Amino acid sequence: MRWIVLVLVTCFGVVRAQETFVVGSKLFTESVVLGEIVALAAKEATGDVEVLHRDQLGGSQILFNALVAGEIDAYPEYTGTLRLELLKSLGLASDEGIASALVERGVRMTWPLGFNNTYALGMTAERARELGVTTTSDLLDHPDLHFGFSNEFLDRGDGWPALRDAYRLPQDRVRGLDHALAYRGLVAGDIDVIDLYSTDAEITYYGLAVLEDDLVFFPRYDAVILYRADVAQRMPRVAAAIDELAGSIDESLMVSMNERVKLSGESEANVAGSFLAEREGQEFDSQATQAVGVIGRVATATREHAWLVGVSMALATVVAVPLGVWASARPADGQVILGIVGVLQTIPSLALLVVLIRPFGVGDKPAIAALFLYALLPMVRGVQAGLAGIPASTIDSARAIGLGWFARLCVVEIPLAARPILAGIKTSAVITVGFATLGALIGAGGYGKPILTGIRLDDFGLILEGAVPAAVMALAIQFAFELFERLAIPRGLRRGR
Amino acid sequence: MAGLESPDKGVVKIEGRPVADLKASERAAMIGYVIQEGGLFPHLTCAANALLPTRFAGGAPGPEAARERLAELAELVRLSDDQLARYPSEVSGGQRQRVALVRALILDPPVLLLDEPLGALDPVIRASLQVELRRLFQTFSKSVVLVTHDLAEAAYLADRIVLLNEGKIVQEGSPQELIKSPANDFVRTFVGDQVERVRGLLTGGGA
Repeated sequence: MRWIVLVLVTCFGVVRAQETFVVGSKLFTESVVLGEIVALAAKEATGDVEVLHRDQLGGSQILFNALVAGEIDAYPEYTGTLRLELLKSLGLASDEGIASALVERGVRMTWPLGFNNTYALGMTAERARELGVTTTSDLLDHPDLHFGFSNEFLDRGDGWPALRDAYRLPQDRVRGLDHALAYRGLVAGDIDVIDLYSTDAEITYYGLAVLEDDLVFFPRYDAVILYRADVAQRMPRVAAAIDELAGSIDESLMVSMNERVKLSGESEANVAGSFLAEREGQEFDSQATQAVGVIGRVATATREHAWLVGVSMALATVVAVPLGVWASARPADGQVILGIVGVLQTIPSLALLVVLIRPFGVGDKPAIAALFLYALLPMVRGVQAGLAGIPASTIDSARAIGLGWFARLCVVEIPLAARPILAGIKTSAVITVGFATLGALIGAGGYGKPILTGIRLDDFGLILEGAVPAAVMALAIQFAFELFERLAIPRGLRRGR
Repeated sequence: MAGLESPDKGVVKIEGRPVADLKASERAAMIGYVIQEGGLFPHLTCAANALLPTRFAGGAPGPEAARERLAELAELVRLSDDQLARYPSEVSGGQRQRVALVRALILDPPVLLLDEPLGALDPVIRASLQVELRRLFQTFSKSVVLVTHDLAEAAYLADRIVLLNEGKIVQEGSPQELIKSPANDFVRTFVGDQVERVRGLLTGGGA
């Protein structure tokens, strides 16, 4: 218990500068590159503002809500996404009305950056030739094809459901998966058709056949930068620098930037830095934006991960122990309590994370809330089972000595049940280390982030950079608990039991 | 009687006050209680077990006085400091019962309630503890209520025996009265089975 408090204390102490400009980006490479460009441009424009780039924060809805709520100040978006998904309820017929609709929400939109990254369907050239498919309508003749779409495309108003209706596509073998993984599935032959972003570097790399959108279903997805209207007042130079990005990136430039990150392994910061330098006719010095080394990255991820695990475990312990005591004192209530924490455990983690974004916003808070809820079951059960296992004669003996209810609990019952209680907390902690990697999906950072980036960039080393320390942390926690148990559990309980 | 169960009928009073009305801490100061297996807590040392009531009961002595009292009682029941420093699982059954007895006496209660204190011990230890208990009871002036199935033990330790059957008093009196004039067949059978041992104890041990 004491070490948890210690972890808590050491984890506080994040100090923020007075004025901070926070850029967000979505889970795919192009968005991260654009986010990096915005962040660097903002940094160059002003000296006294702290600029943060919270990359890979989530999907369109998460980013847009975070922007409106003021958790981030800017992020790259696409007009088609705004019109048909984010502002769907307004039923805008063209891109004309977007800017004014955004102003009502306290958000400003730059002019288009200069390229259109629309959706398209793609197949391997070989398979397309084999089946004679060149247009989207040609898919009507092949109802047995396997489709693999990015999860967002699968659900969006302007995505698969509308596309299916427009073309009357008969395929029902459709699954959702990560966009970066979809390419691998396509090349491996597990999937026949995937959704593409037209500026994806993989299209030329894998020599994919882009199916013609013969009914002109997909609208324009002109890239723009959205930023909060108050940025113009709080830091006008940053706003001006963002506005200047309009018209500066054409389609071939964006494709080549995506390519440099995804296929050549350059860092997003490097690519963004060289773009800005070239625009101003300067030589780009890659040393200046040298990315942090492995050790620095792992240290940051470790701190973030320990924060997620430490806070959620501390909160869960504080709540679970009284709940467990209650459950064992009143078995009828105990049934209900264990039922509720058991049901919590069955909620799919991703769903829980996304639901919790609503009250908590993006970042570490919803992740901590989710981890807290998942940690309850093993802990409550440990406390309840431990207390229920104490013989009635021991309790009688404590009562006869004159111990009141609370003294009995603190001096006799909890120490006697220390073992199952500690075991429950240990189980929770170890599970939580694993669960916490999912926090990266909603911008909580931690070991999940290198894993997520590794999946996006198909970089196995980066995946290990998250997976290995996570395993080490789980083992360390296990070890620490065993050591603590050895020191804290009195000899009298260890022998003959 | 120790206030752990509320009575179906009747009132238990100590020094004029109904036990049921006492707070747990007050009750502990009035009645020292030893249950069958001693009821020691395995996670505390014997000394900590014995001192536990002094930490919670009303009007308990301070830590210094409590330790002095512990030393006195330990000497009385022949427990060494070394034995007191051990955990209950590390001492013998007889020693555990002595610790339980010390714990029951630590607050110097006017009444001592022993619920089959020797029931779980083997006959040899049992016999020697019986001798010690008798010596102890004679040392301090307390009302001792001892529950036992062993009439010989009762006769040896007690001045007055109350024979209960199915929760009702069957006969009450000195050991001799029970032997000489049993109130009914139940008493006659119960006493008759054990009468030889009772006689032996009374003449042998009491001399």
